[in-house]
Amino acid sequence: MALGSITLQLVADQQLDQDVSVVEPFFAEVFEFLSLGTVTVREIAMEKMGGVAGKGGATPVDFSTTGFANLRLLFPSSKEEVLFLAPSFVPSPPVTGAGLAILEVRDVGVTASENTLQVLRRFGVHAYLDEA
Amino acid sequence: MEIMIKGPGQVTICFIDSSGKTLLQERLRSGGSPNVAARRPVSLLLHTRNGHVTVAPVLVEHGEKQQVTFDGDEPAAITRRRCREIGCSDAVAGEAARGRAALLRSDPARPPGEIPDRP
Repeated sequence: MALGSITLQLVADQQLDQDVSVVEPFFAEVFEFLSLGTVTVREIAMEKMGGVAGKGGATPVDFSTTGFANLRLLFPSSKEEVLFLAPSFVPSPPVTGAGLAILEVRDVGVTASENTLQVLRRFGVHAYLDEA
Repeated sequence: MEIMIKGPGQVTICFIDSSGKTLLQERLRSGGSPNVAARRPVSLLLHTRNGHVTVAPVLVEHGEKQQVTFDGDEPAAITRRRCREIGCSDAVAGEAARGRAALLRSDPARPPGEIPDRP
């Protein structure tokens, strides 16, 4: 149960053997329960290092290099939620009554029929919140 | 399978085939208060150039204050059961249940062999 300053942070390293030909989409989340107070999200950020390299592969079309992160605030009394997208470095509008903060990170998957893939990708995502 | 991690710290999980070869390795570092938790859903079916391969998860490393579960159960039990299902030898299954699996690559910030044996 959080009141005060809250940090949510996740770093994920993923490595695959070269025998693997399908890289599944990546999803992970880090979360903490809140105290139904008033929450301000001060910052959400995500970094990505590395990625998926294909030997002899075609030029990727519209392939994201950044990953995707968002923060969800969930409420115990309703099915509504408030969503904040990364990156953001200014305080959000205050949100009252949230019971759970979930920081999610996603990245795309890749399928290679003939290529040898090298996968070494690292995601870092964090959010800073204040609850009063 | 769903990996749940309670508490901040670092978790390393290898996913091995029936011969004990690591095909996927993940290291998850969660940070925040002692109440922070992380969830990572992951498939135990990998697609390789030679077809589909079923794998078993091996919890190689976790923080002292962290609680890790695989599908809500204790990791070693899931590892042992999954190893049986995919046809690992007793030796491979035993090593995996003790949290021993070959890392794909070492972390440049941590020399090989630095991950201690778990009791």
